[in-house]
Amino acid sequence: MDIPYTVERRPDTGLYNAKIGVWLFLASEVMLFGALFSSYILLRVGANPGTWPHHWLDWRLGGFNTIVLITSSVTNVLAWASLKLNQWDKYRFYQGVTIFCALLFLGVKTYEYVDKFHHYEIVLKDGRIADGHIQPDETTVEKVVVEGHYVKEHAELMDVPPTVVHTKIEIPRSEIVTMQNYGPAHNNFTGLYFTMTGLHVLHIIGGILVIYMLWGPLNGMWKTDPERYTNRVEVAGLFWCFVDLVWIFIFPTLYLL
Amino acid sequence: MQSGHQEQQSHATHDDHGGHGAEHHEPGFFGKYFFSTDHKVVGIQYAVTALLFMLFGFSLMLLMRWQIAHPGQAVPIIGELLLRIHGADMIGKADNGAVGVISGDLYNSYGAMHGTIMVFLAIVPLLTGAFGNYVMPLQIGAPDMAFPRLNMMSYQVYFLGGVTMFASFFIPGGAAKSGWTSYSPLASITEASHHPNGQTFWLIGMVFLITSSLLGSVNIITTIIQLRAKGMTWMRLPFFVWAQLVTAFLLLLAFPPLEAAGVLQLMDNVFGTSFFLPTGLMVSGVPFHSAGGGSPLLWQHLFWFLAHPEVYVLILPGLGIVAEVIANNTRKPLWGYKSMVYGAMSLGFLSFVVWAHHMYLTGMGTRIATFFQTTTMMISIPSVIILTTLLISLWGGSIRFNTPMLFAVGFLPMFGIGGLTGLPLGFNASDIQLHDTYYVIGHFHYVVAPGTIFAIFAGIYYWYPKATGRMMNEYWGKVHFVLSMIFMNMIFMPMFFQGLAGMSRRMYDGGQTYAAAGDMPGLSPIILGLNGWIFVAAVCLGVAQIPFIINFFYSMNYGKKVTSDNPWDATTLEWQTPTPPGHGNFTKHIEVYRGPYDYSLPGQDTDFTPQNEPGKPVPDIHGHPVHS
Amino acid sequence: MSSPQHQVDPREIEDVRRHVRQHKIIALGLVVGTVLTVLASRTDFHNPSINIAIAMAIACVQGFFIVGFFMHLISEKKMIYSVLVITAFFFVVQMGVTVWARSHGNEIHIQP
Repeated sequence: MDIPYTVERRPDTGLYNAKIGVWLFLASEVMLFGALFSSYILLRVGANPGTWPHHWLDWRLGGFNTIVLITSSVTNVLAWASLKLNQWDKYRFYQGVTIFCALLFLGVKTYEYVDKFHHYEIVLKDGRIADGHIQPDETTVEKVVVEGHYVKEHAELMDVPPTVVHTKIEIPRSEIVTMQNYGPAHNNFTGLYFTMTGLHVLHIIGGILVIYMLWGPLNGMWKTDPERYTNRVEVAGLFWCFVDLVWIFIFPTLYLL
Repeated sequence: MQSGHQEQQSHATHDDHGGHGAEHHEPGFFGKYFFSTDHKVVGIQYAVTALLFMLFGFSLMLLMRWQIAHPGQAVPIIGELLLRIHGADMIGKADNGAVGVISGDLYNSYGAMHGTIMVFLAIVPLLTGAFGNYVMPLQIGAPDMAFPRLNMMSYQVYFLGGVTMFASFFIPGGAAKSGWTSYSPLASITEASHHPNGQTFWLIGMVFLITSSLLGSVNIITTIIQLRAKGMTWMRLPFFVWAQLVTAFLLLLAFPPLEAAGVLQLMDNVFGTSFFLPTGLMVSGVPFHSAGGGSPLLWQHLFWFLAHPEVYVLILPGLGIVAEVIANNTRKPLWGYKSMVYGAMSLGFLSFVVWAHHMYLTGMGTRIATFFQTTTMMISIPSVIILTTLLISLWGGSIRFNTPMLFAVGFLPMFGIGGLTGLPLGFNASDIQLHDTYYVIGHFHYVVAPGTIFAIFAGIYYWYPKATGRMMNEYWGKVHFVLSMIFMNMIFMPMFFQGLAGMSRRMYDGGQTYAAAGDMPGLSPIILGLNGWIFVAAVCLGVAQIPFIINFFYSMNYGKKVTSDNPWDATTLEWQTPTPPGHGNFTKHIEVYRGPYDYSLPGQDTDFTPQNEPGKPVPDIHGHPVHS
Repeated sequence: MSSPQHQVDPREIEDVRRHVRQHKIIALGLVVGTVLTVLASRTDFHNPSINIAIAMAIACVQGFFIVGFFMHLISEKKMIYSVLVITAFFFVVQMGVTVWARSHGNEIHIQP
């Protein structure tokens, strides 16, 4: 039994089934990320003045990732175009670049996440706050060593000037009141950062898995049903471009503003 | 007639693809029943699972109603069993030493899970997963859903979600206990000492259920758009299909914000974020350890953005089922089909802009309250239009009062009561008195319990012969209807009076704490006494389902066999298949020539003309023959 | 290796080639947009709202090109458009009304 219009387009709508299916799915994804963005807006606008941080993320890494993802989007579309022109080898090349870019993106993100987990805010008994990256080889049971600076008030950490000087700070553990890293629990900004980019990363992984499976293990369909295979690549590509689109909005929102 | 794999090509809406039927292999037992991609098997999987969950959710309610009617007393018979399952933290001893008193926390657990299970594990899967999957492709003349494997996966993810929810009862700390609404901060501070706790399971379960729904909606919408048979134009679709289409759009666009909110609350619970936890939160006098800065109202907005369209998800397919049964059993077309279609579309659209009428008491300003009050009043219009057209459809009909029709007609006043009692809740001013009282519980249960559930029963009795080839027993069906009708009203009607008297929801002692005593005003003994009656009625309602359950299983093998593929003499396409339909559904080419309810057409031999019947030309009022 | 039974219509070849050129130019434009966004964010306009407006405007333009051309929505069928228009409406409602509800000026004022 064949499901009609799996490959052939239905005359009155002009579409094949999976094309409608994927756009419907993307519509739901718009609502999903939209709700996260509206949560961001609400929490930021509702935050007390001086409690929302700025420029806690490295724009160079974010910008690099943005360019990487744009590249992967265009190579993805070029890969599909190659299939339409019956150029299998070009498809393999372009889609390979797409997959490589995705892995690069994930690598940079991993670096960023790890960096945040190594960044500590340490409140000391004398009221000062030490803020910096932990040095694991020098930290012992008795003391914590960070590369950073001192501030007097927590609020100063919200807007750290780029000219700040980092030095090595040794803190005996007996002096520590609280010590917390810049993970999701740190404040709502880091919470939103990890949640929004985390969900986005899950979509990257899902998308690249599908693209990889089509490119690699399941590419036999190109020989048996090339039009259907091309449609599958197109549909996966639509999802991939959407994932890029979400990042286009995440980057300025979290990294720049 | 046995189901078999139909080797022939299903309908073609254009020239033949060339039959591929002969080359597929026979699946084994697991392939046929657990991993089938056939929409009918998936539909039945959903139906069985959802009905079991409905029974479970019903039992939770019985336990709650017992406690409300007998505060401080031990649950009889199963007290020890409850102690074994829930532990001594949750199950206490009565004054007389009997074991089995449901604690406040456990009561909250039952309440939260009763709501969650009934809405997300029972009703929605029955309406969209069971009826939507089974009937809709047949009614549009399709061989299956657009994405059969996705369909199978939707069921499996739903099943996973159900298992997660069920399993949460057995973990330390028990199941979620912060209401089906899971409001923060309560949802994040309850059982914070246990990792993972019932709330976390609830959130994970919800993510599974939402995913299942989303995949199902994509499938339903694509199928309706793309797989309609030749000649099945939009305005020839049975109203049931329109209802499924609008419902699927509601699920598609409204669920994701709740999924986002669920992820955020999961982060709060598991990773210590404070998206919904305000600064300065104190729990039992001790500052709660979190960064603060969050907004509990944000959760409410995101939750209700889904949960309001969700209630229209709960009613629309039910209206669809009732429309089908009424058209069939009045032997005349539905009055106002077009109004019903536009009504359903406007209902769907408006349902997205009314959500904060659940939040009138959060301190929102008058401007925003007025906005939501206005949209809420507007949404009552399409609801009334649909109900009225269904009522008018009865006028002048040649009515057959079989069991499906009894449930369908019984649905109408019940939905009417439910809808009308929503009005004082929709007005900001009167809602101040009624919010979070038993009035609300009466209102929404009327719409869903003697409302949607009656529609579901109508659908089961109506489509059972198509799925099994046998009729359910008419006598016991009527018994089921009469008893259910009486006891549903006995349970829910008193709640309006209790609510107007000021009795709050979610009180595990049934309001005993607020009883009037001497000079002190409070709940009168009459109002409190109603709890006893409600409990008795609930038990009787449970007993009334027994004939249905027995009938359901007995008739499968011993029910009266149908003598034709179309025992109800219906016009819609699902009755044009063999009984039960095989793989691919239709054994003949299907082309649609007429609307869905061509009953009692003048000049025809029979009082019904199926949609795929080209038929004799019908004379117009001047006596000239006109081709339909 | 190309598929033996898949013959490509020569008109389609020219069509696809034209689109490929288009996509490459757009990709370059997107990169330029990203650079502009970063530069704008590092400029002091004395009013944070202006920074937000510029960043969102550039993002929307970039988004338009991704959706319109990479996802070829601009040449897509009416059915898809309808779905997206409906979605866009509810997206705006969800964001807009939620933020409006929480904005200052919407609280109840109790007279002392």
